[in-house]
Amino acid sequence: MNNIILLPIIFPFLAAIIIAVCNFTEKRRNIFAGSIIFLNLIFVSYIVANFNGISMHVIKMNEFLDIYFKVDKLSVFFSLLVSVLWLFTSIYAMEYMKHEGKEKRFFAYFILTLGVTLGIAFAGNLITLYLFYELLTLTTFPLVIHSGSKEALKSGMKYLIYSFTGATVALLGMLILFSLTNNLTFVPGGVINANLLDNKTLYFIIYVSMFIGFGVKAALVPFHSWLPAAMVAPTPVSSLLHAVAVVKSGIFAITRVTFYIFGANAVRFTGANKYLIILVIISILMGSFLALHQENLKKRLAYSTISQLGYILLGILLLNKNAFIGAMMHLLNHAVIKITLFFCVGAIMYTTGKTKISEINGIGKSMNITMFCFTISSISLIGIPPTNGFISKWLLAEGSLVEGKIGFPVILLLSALLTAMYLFPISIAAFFTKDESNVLEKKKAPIKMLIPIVCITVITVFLGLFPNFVLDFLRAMASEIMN
Amino acid sequence: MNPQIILVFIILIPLIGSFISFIIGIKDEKARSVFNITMTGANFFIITSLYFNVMNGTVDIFIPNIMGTGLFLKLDMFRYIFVWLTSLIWFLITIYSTQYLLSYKNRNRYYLFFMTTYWSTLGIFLSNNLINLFTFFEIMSLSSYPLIIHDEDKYSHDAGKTYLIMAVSGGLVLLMGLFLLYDFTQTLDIDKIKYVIQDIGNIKYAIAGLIIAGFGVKAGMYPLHLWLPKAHPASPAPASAILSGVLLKTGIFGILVTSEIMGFSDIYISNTLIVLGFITMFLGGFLAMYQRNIKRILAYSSMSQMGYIIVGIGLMGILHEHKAIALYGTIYHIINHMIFKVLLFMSAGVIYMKLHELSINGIGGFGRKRKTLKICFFIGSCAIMGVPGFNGFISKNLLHHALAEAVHLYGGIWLYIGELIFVISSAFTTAYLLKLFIAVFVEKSDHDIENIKMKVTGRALIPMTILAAMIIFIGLNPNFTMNIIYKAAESFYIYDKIDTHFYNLENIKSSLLSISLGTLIYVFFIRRVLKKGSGENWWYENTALNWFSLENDLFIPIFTVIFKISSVVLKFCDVGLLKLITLISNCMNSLLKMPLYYKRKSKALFSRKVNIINDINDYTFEYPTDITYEAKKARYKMNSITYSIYIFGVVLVLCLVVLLYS
Repeated sequence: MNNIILLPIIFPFLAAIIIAVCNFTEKRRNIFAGSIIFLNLIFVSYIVANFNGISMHVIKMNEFLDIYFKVDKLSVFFSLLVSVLWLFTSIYAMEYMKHEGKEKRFFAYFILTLGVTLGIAFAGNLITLYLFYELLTLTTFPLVIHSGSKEALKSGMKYLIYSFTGATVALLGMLILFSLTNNLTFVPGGVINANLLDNKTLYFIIYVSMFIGFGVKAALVPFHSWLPAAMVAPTPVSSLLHAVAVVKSGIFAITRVTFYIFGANAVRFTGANKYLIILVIISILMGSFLALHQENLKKRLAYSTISQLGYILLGILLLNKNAFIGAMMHLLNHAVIKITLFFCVGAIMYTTGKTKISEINGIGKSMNITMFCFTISSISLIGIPPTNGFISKWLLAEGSLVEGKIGFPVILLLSALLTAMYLFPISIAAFFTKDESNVLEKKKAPIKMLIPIVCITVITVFLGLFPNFVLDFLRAMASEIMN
Repeated sequence: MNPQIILVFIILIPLIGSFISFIIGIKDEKARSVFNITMTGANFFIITSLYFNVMNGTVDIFIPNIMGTGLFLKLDMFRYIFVWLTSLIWFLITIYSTQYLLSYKNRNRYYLFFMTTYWSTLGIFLSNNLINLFTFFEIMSLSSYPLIIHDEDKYSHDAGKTYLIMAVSGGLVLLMGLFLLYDFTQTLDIDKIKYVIQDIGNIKYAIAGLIIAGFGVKAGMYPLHLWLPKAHPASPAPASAILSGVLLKTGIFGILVTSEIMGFSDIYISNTLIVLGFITMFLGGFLAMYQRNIKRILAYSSMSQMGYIIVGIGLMGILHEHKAIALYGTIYHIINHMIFKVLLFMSAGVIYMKLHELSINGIGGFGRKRKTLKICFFIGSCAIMGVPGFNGFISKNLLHHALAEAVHLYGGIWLYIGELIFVISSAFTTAYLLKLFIAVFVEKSDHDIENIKMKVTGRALIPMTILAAMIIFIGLNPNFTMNIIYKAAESFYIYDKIDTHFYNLENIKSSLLSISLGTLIYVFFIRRVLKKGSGENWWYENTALNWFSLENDLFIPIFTVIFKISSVVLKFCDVGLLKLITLISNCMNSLLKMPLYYKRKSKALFSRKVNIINDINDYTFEYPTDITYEAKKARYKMNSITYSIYIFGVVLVLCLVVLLYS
């Protein structure tokens, strides 16, 4: 029965091939794609519910080249998140992609990427993770350059160069690490043991290279500039890239390396976190600050992503339980919040064609539900209670205070203030500013776009009001990896 | 019904009601108004019915799992005063709003946020857990923003921007305080903090500073008051009444809870509060004298009155076992200010309803023949001035006694100065209210008052009459209120009562002293200096406009500089790496493309020397060459060398094979 773990990874691959080969009508393809993703969600939940802890070696050539899948708490967390948000995105994309065209190609790669991302989630050792990580770059590349314009191709190139360079650096770290430990399986608490004492500098280099290598996908400053550039992609893609698949895979890989390969104590011993945290702080501040300067709504959200990912990385690098729970909570929260924000911006683009903040005055009159959800999500991203962003901010701050660092909460709050400064003007322009020019068409967003937006907003508020069931799960995970 | 359940319903009724009213309002505006009045009225009666429960003991309820920490609501007499007044004021203002807002747009949106502010304010006063309190506080801060910018014009957006930035930053500062508090005490239960706060050392001051600053923004405490005089005039009158009457009190409530119930008050914190309170009191009163917009006068007046309350809170800290009187004065003044300031803003609203103008330079003499309005306004003004017989008299006297007690206990020049400021600020109060009252209701003017024919009905006037009646009642029956406050004082562990003969010669004398001083300021300063023109053609000037402004001359320049510098630095982080790589690649490119002149020369020389016959071909060598070109050529040559070696090798191998097998 262990083979069942392959099902959610293989199934999208097959479905993608079917979509690519058959000539469906638009309606049929939408139904097909939707049901595939829904089925996959059911597979994932079935596996997660009934087969927690199963593992499987697919191919094992030697200790290093070993394709190995495993279900543990972190993969449960990530795979469920990915599957649920993928479903919403697919509903959204059915409507949105109408005006982008080339839907066949889009849906084929879209579903393929789901399989690859689940592969990352279920990977049981570093080499499997690495393989799927590289695959992810390849499968998302056609999505990024979807429009085929010169700008899109240029951004696509940038994305490829950054991602591959990052992965190469990570691979370097991986190879050296393997030569030292002979074991790259994910074990809660890490596989590195007492021999760390001898090679402190070497381990330092390994950790830094892996962190930075995977950090490229997590938009760590100064390796972030692919992310704002990748904004040329269609909105469902950018929301997925930003909220779930790509950046979170980077974070996921870093979490795996930190807590399942090295272990908190080993990282602390190398002292690498002290230096890396500087980069993270710069990411947080720079992202929020430069978001203020962006006129284009999507770009604004892109820079905001850089800063929010910084929060998560900060939580990981603090290496204590509170901060870890906060980081994982923020991974979840940022995913649902950012995907809503992107969906809303996409809905504005789709219905009115406006992309800049100066053009959307008074848009809240016609698109009231969209902008209402946008406002709720903004409030949540700032971290104002009773939404979910507050919970993660609280945990992250407590995590840094446990370490005795008063500066980090201050930076978090400063960034929260900046977040308010770049997000509230959008809501204010939409709701409370008179539209003098009257050029806006009075159109509502289509229902297929509104359903995902409203659903995810409800999740946002629900997670803020009743976070305990997630928190308990994360607490269990945290005590598993840190004693 | 179980009073604990009712406690939840107090918040839930307006919470659900706000959305229901929004949905009703889309279809039928009249039904919505009726619904809102019924709902706030019902809530008011529910809260009133809790009186005896609270009188007998505390009501509290804990609902686990909400927001991770659970929802912990508590109602004792101290909170009940706030809750009851809030619900009363909201009820009255809802009635008043149905009349006032008739000429406004977006009424439905207004009511949605009006009601959201309502339940979140109730939540602040009820919550016994700091996380809950903070949650409600933030909801209130944000939901009052749409009320402020309701007009959607440039002025209100400007005011709204100041308000929003200050409210959000205030909230974040408060949150920082809560982070630290939780880290050091591991509890957020307001009642428990008292027992652990003494063990955490000097970090206590940082925490107290942050929390009090966070609440101080809402309370309009100097120097965090900047939003206050801007936001009040910008919003519609019912909203300004709410802002001044209730929202400022949430800040005061927070400071009071922090300093006294959570036990932060010690000599340093209390002294800071007293100093800031005196500055707030003096500055508010002083600037109010210069203003010409009725609402702005009232806004500065609110600021000044908040100063009295903050001084009262500070005095509680330094008076130790004698702090009862300061507490009574503080709570009494809070009650009074909630009532009379709402009344005055409602009156200002009536004027605005008629004229759409608020500057006293445009409406002088408007109220000469409007009796009800005149009487209400007169009662409200007398109450703030502290004229004997009105409620302000009692609370100001209590506060004055508390101050005198402090002077008696500690002496010292500073407290004497404080007492002086107290008297002078009271005189300012009298002066600016006289200015307002005489200009609007007494003096004749040639102002072209265009009367918009809008009938002010009972819906606007009855709430005002009720409040006016309350002022008189509380003023004449101080014992009634004092009995409630005695019960409220139990939350502060104070059980001693005080002598309540307020109407004695000494009190009346001190009250009349400041009133006559104020009249002198009015006659000799305001009328002589600020008032221009003569006869019926008069106007006031505001010379304070050109003075040093904390916002324009200090805060904005500082933040602009910080903003610019960080922009440059962070922009560098953003594109620094890319720029560096581009730079390196450009350098390499230009290096490689550098023409290699010497080579050409030598080549030319060579060809000329060796190849004399081919002199005509000399020019064929004259093209410039560079490293890229040379590298290409070299590669080509290398290739041919490689090939030849390769071919040579193959031949060699073949030979070998042939030799071996032949």
